[in-house]
This record gives sequence, structure tokens and C-alpha cells, in this order.
Amino acid sequence: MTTIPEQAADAPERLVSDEQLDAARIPVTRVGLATIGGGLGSFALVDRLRVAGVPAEEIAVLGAHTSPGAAFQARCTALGMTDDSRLRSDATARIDNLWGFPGYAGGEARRTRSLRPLTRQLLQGVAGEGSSPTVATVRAALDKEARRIGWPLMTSGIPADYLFKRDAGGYFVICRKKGGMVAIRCDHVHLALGAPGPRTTPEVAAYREAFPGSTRLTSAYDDNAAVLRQLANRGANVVVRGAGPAAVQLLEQLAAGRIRHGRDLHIWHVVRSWPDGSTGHDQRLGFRHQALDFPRAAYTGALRDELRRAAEEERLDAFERLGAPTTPRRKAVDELLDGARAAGWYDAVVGEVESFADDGAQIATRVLLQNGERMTIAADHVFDATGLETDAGQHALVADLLAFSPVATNRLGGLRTTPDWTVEGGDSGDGRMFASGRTARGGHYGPVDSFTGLQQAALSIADTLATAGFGERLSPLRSARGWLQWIGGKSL
Amino acid sequence: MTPTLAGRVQTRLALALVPGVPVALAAAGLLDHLTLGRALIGLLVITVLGLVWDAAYQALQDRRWDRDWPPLLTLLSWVPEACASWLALNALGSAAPRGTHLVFFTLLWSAALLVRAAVLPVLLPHWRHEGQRLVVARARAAIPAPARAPEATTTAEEPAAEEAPARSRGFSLGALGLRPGTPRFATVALFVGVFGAVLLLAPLLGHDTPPPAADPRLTHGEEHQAMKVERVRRLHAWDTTKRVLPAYVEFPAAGVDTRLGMTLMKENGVLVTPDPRHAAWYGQGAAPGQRGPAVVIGSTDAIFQGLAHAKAGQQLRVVRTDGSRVAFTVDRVMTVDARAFPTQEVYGATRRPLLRLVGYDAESGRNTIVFAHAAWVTAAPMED
Repeated sequence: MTTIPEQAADAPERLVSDEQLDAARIPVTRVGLATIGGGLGSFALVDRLRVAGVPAEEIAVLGAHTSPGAAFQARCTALGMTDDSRLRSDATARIDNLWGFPGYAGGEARRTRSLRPLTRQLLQGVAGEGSSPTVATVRAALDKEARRIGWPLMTSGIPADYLFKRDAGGYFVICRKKGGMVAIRCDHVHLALGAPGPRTTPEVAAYREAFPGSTRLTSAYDDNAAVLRQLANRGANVVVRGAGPAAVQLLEQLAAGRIRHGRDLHIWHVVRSWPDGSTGHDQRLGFRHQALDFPRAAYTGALRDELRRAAEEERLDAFERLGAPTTPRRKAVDELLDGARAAGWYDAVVGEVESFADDGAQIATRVLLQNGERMTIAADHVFDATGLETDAGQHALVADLLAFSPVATNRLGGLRTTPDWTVEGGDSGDGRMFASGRTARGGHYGPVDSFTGLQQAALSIADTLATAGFGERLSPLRSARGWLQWIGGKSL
Repeated sequence: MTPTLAGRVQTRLALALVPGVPVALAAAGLLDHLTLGRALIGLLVITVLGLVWDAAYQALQDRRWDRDWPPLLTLLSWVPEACASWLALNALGSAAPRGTHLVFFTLLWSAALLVRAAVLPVLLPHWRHEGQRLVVARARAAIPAPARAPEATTTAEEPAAEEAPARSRGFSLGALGLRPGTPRFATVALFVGVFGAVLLLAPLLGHDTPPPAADPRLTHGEEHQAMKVERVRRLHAWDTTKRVLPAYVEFPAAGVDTRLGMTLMKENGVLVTPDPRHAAWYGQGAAPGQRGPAVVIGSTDAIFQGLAHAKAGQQLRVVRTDGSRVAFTVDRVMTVDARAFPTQEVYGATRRPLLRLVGYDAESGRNTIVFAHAAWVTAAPMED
């Protein structure tokens, strides 16, 4: 049971036997599948399995939250999104509905007694901003579906600490409970751990090390409400770094604060490159516009097939290129930034951030501009909106797996997976190890952590599980019955 | 959800069978001019042509900036598919009338749309994720050995990395790359294409009105051809709401060539000619060439003596007071007793310009009625 972290990489793979757990007096619970993460990735798979008739006792969900949408809601709140904020998502991508029909747009049209959501969906991709659900819509539907499939029966709100392969096939998941340890023995295991936290770029890491007490640099995913209020109240110079939706969200909040308090809030927006039209995107004011994280063809179209077939290096290059920061086009943001630029309180700076330094009163951002010159921006606060951490190895559980089993990560930080979402080197006897969501980033699919991507993973994983003898395939009849139960709100 | 070519083809073939065949059978039962054979041939032609359209749509989709197919384009696909299928069926000679075909096509098309939106996602949850493919090949790809050190492979991949900049422009790994500056061009091209097709096809569709060409007397003879074109042109410019009084009626086959007087109905409801040597036009009804039935009466003892020899298909002309001539074609001839006079048939309102010659025999009480419809009009006297 005791393992030495400095174990050599070429040592035989670590396997744990029933006797070892017995000797360590760790109680063992037996289930068919354990899913580690407990967020939307786990939810999508569990929903699919429950719809096809897998009993709740056969599934264990291990995560820090008892509600599947808790982590998702926490990220939205941290970004300053309210219940009415629209997500960057498609109306037919429903995490709570395996079939995508009826979509979010129909429900919203019925609720608001307006045809607008439907016309927006119809004109999607041609004109307008398309139809996307609000945070509240998604959360409410998710909670309802979680209750329907009996999510509370499967989860206990305890995160998993270790994942061991069992010597006779299957896995052990070890959790801490009331000071002691418990083990869950499962035939198959699923990892959907999400992002470990905001990304820490080397410049940010260096700054944190040099100025450990400073609060002048925060990530877009930190709780910025108090800082934003303070900045808007006093007037300040602010640096926003990044060109994705999180940066747009911050810019909107800063602009709203400036308008509310009437103080001089000057925004320096640092982006790595100014779009030059080479990517084919619609572009404006330094942002590349795209409705979703990836081009739509990468979700279900021909691009998905091409990516699935491509060789690893080519695929990872493509993911980096296609997954580059883009934002959905919104007229309100365009008008806001146009006005701000004309009024002179918004400036875009194009270049790479070299370093941050704190001089006691202000934070200095050194930027290497595109023309080779250096520029130093003295600001009262820096918001780093470069996104979320991509390295799955930042999770202690995954780091342990990487050290003591043949599981490996790819260049983008996700676990190496096969096209059917199995983790390479993760098999244990007849047991399979799966990964979806951000944990499978850089696998065979581009948009892994979208609602659609999670559902695609869930459908594929459940089919593989059915072949392995766990659960049933979703035949047309079973699927139709599941849908009727969903639409009728019948508890499973 | 973005489709793929394989998905489009599979879905179309399946939809042709499942809602397609029952809808075609139902349409054949519901629609008047659609026989069962025509409906099935129509379904076949629509499906085969649809496969060609699918290839075209996919080629267009691959040239769009994000290689997506927005829902609006799915709706717009009605236009090219409906028009093309009608033209193809027309060329094959098994087309239903245009209106019937459009109704039939719309029924098939909406049924397929409904199934795609609401039934297929429910029955086959993977369908929308796999680019609308019904059959998904599930092959577990060959697993390369896990590489602990990615640096070791990068040197070997160096030549491949060189072509990356060329690909970095579009969202494609294949040859169909997107050129910068064309993001909206493809959409505009589609719109222009669709509406251009409609504009081009519209005259073709308009020309299917057959009456001038189907008229047997107008289709033979060289010299008639030029005249036919001229007449067709004038027929199209014919204002049937204008009331022009008639002057003469010429009916060579019946030996009638007479000036027309005007008569009005008497108090007792009897219509008589003021002068037995000439025919008279009922002035309270429509004028010849005006929409509605124009009625001309005459005595079968005198001026309308030859009316008994009239036959369907013969031609007669009315010269109007403005010098224009209206040609009529006889539809049928009937002889009735005056007490059983078919008032509704003779005087009944209609939107077409019609002519009725009514010959009466005061002694026997028999009426001979010639029913005719206007064929063409000439604005000025023509040398025949």
C-alpha cells in the first residue's frame, strides 16, 4: 500500500491487491463504474448510463461537490456572469438532455412568449448573434435532470485521492472519509477532472514568487468583485491581458463600473497578436470572432473526421491553432469598445508580456511590442485572463498515475487517449480507464470540454462499456423510451 | 449540427424510404392530378437529384469559412430542389402539373425536415454528433506506443512541420483550404446562386401554359408559326376587363357573316332580334372579348340557318368597333327545347372571355346553342 514517490519510471507497474487493502484495514465498496470529477463530464456519462438502465448502485461519483453544476456555476460567478448572462454555447447542445431535442431555444421562446430565440437560432451562422442559453437556464435544467437520475444516490461529495490498478483487474479508488480511508473497487473508471485552476504563465509565476504578498495581480477566474468595485470607485489604470471571452467579460465589468462611478478608469488591453485576417475569422478591435470555442465543423462536421484521423503531431498543431482565443461577436461589446476607444480610456497594446514588477504603489507590466520595442505600463491592477490551466498533471491524482503507471500526457497537457476515449496504458485486466473533458485535451477530438464534446464522449464511452458488459447499448427503442421518460419528467 | 457528406447521403436515402414512401402514397391519394406511379417516380427523381444537391451543398460548405451549414441554408434548399426536380420530371415527361408537384415536393420536404429535427435525434442519439451519419464505423484505432518524451519525435516530424504554415490559413487539414478574405463570400455566392436559379427558372416555368401551342390549327403550317408568336404576344397583352362593342360576327363554317345589332331583354324575360336578317348581341351581358359570356342571338330560319352544321373545334371571329378582332373556338354545339333552356350554362358568370351563339326557331321552339371560347385577339385588322 505504501508507495515511494521517487520510484523509478522503469520499475514494474504499481498494482494493488485485495490483501494489501485488507492488511491496511481499508473498507472496500464494490461498484461497476467510478467516475472521478463529479462535474459536467461525470454528469454527461452518468446521465447516458442511467438513461440506458444502469442502476444507481452500480455507479459511484467522486468529487468535491454534491451538485454536478457546482464547479461550473463557481467559474461563471467568478467571471462576473449573472444568471441572465449568455453562455458561449449552442441552443441544441444541452448537457441535461442527451438528445438535444427540444433545445434551449424552444423553451426560452415558450417562457418569454417571443419568437426571438427561435429566429436567432434559425439565422445562426448567417446573421445575428445566434441563440445561446443563459447561465440560469442551464443550471436549472441541470439540477432538474440530476434529481431525476438520482445523482444524490451516487455521490457523497468526497473527492478521490488515489487511483490504483487492482492486480486481478479493475481499479481501486481511495478517498478520505472522516479521517480514515475508504476504497471503492470498480471494474471501470472514468476521469473528468476539469481544469485544475487558472493558468499560471511563467511571468505570473515569477511575479508571485518575487512579490508573494501582492494582491495587484489576479486571474480572471479569481473572485474579483471587491477589486473591481474598489477600482471603479477610485479611478485607476488597469491592465487586462488576454483576448478571450474572460477578457471581454472583465472589460464589460470595468466599463460598467466606470459609467456607474464616473471615475477615470483607464484600460490597457494587452493582446499577443493583432488579427491580420490570416485565419479567416471575422475580426474587430483586436478580437477574432467565432461563435464557439472551435469552428463548428470541428464539433460534428468534416473537420472532426479529419482531426480524428490525423497523426498526433499534426492534430496537436491543429488543436493549438483552432483553439486559439476567439470570442463570440456581440454588438454591445463592439459598441462599448468603439466608444471607449473614441473617448480615449481604452487602449490596446499588442505584444508579449515579459515580466511584472511591483514598486510598492503600482504594478509595472513590461511588454515586448510587435515592432521590437519595449513598453512599460504602470497600473494599479493587472487582470490575467489567459485562461485555465491545461496540464492535467496538476491534479494530484493524475500526477500519481503518471508517476506509477504507463499513462502519459500529450504536449497539450491532457492524458493520451484513443479515439474511443480510453486512456492509453490505463487498462487493468478487463477494466478500462476513460477520460473526457479537459482531462482528455489533445486527444482525438477538438472541443472536448464543450457540452457537445462531453456528450459525444459519454455516448462513445457508454457504448464501449456496453461492449465490455457494463450497461446496455442505446438501441433506438431504448433511446425513445428514455426520451419519453425525460420529457415526462419520470424519475429513474 | 454540421453535417458531413456521408451523413447527408445516408440520411437522405433513409428519409426517402421512411417518411418518403408513406408521404408519397398519401399525397397520391390526396392530390387530384397526382397518380400513384407519378408520385413514386417523383420521389425517386427527387431523391436521386437530392444526392447531387448534397454533393453540391457539401462542396459549398467546405468552402465556407468555418465549414458549417447554418439552419437557414437547410430551409433555403427548398428552392433549388423543388425547381430542379420539376424540370427533371418535365424533361422525363412524367411531371404532374406545376402546382401539384410543388405541393407534393413540399409535403415530402417538410416531412423529412420534421423527422430530422425531432425524430432522428431521439431514436439515434449519435446521429447528430457523427455528422448525421446513420451508420458509424466503430474501429478502435491502432494505439501507438505511449511516448514518454515527445521531444524525441519532433525531429522526425520536421518535414511535416514545414507545410504547417500553408495549412494554417483555413480550418482544414485537407486540400480544401479557405483563402483569407472570403469568409462571407461563400454565403453571398450561395444566395446569388439560389436567387439566380429562381430568376432563370421562372420564365421556363411560366411558359408551360400550353393553350396556344396545343391548339391544333396553330401548330401546323409554316406561315402560322410567325403569326402564332404574334398572337401569343397579343393574347398576353389582352385586357379582358375592357368592354369593346362588337360590330360583325364571321363564322365561315356556318355561312354566317353579319352585322351585329344590340338587343335588350324584354319585360317578360324574352330575348328577340329586332331585325331577323341580322344577328343581335345581348347588350346587358358581356361584350365579346370581355370576361364573361357574350351572347349573340339570331333566327335559325334566316341568318343562323347554318348553325346546325357547326362543330367543335371550328373557328369564328368577332370584329369589334375599335377594329380589333377576337377569334373564338367552338367548344360544343347543343340543340335544346326553349322550355329547357340551359340558362346557367349560357349566362353563368365566368372569368374567361366566352361567346354563345343562340339560334332560335320561333315555330318549333328549338334553340341551337354554340358554345365557344376566345382563342386570341388582334389589335388591328389582319390580312388572312
